[in-house]
Amino acid sequence: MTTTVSTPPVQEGSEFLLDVQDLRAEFRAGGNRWVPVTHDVSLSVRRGEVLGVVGESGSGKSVSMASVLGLMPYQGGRVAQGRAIFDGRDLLTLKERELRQIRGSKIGVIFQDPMTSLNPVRSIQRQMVETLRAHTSLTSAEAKERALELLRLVRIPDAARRLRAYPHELSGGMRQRVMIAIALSCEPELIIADEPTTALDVTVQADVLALLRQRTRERGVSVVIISHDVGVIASLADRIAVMYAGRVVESGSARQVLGHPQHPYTLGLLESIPGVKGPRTERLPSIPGLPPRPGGDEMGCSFRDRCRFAVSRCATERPALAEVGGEPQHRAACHFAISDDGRVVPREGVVGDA
Amino acid sequence: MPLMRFLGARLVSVIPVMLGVSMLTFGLLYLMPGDPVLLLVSGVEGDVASEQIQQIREEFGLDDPLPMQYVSFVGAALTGDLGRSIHQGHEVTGLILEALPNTLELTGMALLIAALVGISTGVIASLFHGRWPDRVSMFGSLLWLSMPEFWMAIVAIMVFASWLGWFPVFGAGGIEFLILPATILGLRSAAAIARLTRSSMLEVTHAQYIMTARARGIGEPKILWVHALRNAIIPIVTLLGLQLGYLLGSTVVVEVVFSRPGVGSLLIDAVLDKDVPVIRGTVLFLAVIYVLVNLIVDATYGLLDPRIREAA
Repeated sequence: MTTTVSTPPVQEGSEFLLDVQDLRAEFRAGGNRWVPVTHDVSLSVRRGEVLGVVGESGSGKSVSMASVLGLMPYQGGRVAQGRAIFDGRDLLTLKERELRQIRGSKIGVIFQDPMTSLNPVRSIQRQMVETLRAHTSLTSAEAKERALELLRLVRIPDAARRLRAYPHELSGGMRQRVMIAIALSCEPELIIADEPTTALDVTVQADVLALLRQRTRERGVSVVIISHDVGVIASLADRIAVMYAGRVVESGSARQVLGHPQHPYTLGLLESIPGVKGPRTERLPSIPGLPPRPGGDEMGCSFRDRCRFAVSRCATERPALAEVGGEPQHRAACHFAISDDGRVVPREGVVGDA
Repeated sequence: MPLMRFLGARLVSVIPVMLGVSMLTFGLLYLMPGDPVLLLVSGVEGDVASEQIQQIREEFGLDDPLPMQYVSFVGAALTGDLGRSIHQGHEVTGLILEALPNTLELTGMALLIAALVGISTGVIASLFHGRWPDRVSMFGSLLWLSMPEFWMAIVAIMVFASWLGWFPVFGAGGIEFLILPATILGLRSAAAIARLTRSSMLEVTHAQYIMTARARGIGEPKILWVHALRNAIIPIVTLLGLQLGYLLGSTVVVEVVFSRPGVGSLLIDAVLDKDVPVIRGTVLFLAVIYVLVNLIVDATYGLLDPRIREAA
């Protein structure tokens, strides 16, 4: 690939395009009881940067993004606390009408399942034109022209015919390309991709990821990519946030987090990837146990029951997400530091915040 | 032209249905107890001589083997000849065509009311899912569905025609004659449609593409009326087709209670008079209409859902 990667000019104001702080999202558990599903989630994305959010299902990755987009009320949830500064404005305080102007326009969204993300009874063209016309002053004819360009941009062969097709007439990979085209259509500053390749065949996954990377890099679009698949995250992300049970347990540059994981959960995730090297007969390491249910006890570290390093202190004091010694921007929420040979040493200054 | 092929396939599938319907209506004469000839002439005053019976047998071709009789019945029906009433000797086709406008008017109006009231109630109920508008409308529709139609008709006549004097009590004519029977007929269908609309909308509004549409910044009214209802309407259209058949059948009750002339009254009078050719003709006619309506519904289904066009 010969595309020149240009760094977009850094604009005035905050260093971050999206800066989420102390986000706490809740779901209704019947009546007036609300159960928190994310706790003090802080995530930030610089302009032109790819943030990977990794964690198992139920860890609060998607909920955090739904909160940022103002989609929680539609899913029976709410945002109880936090800020989400996007382009200088707190998305969490905006009215629905204002949010709607940002969704699909300044922030493009790609969801997991391209089979169900497109309306089955409306043609690709109608859904693309509809998005364009909701956010731009293009005429219907101009919007059709633009939709065709976009399909070519995401490398859909025979684009003119595909434009008139219905979703069921396209393959999964094609549909996800259409979703990428729609996400890019109004020249967004940020794309949120929630498990964009999970529902696709492995061979198609790589194509779609490469396309997403290329089209966002050349436009300087920031990306938040959410996945449970460390491989997907590793192939795309500049920075990584690891989530567990509704909390960010580790964050840092991709090099830091993948190369020197400082949280036992991250370590477990990395170890459970089948390596190409090494003996095949060896049983693949896995993390024992299940994540705690939301709304459970609030004391201590939520990973302790599954952690090989857990000590009694882990049950009483929740480790705060604190900077790892000597590595700027690398944070982990553990009482211990993990050395490269897999041993742990107690860390200084990790104060419990529970 | 996938749509034409789809319609062609549907048209072919209608043939066995029509065959079955024609056999059943044909057999009606023989399923009724007693000699068909005596049934046919039972309205005639006085004793019937055996020569006369024999004459009638020959005239109606009743001595022919059954298959031949069936073929000539179907042959005649295909040319629009459904025989003659044994009472006034009128052509059955003529009687039906004469009664038809009143019945079509009633059924059409009832269907319109059913669709408008049913769909809007269902949509509102789904929007207020679990709150009082939802509960009230669902309880109301269940109550309405549980009440016998003739009783509702009698109560409506009593309240709106007798006491309040807003509408004429019976007969046919202008719109004022139509409103009460059409409402009684339509609201019952509306209750069924409302319940289906509600559940269909609830299902659709939880679909991923609705969330995606929101994430694309599409406004809520458009999401509701275009994205959600457009998908939710597909099963509702099927129900509308079935309801039209139900409404046609129910005109029998409503036309009698409101003393409206129509195909339903014609049928009831024929049954009371044991006028077999009229019964046979009317039932066949209603069945054909029902099948045709559902054919049209199937065609609409293909128009509404691009996935179905393919499958045919």
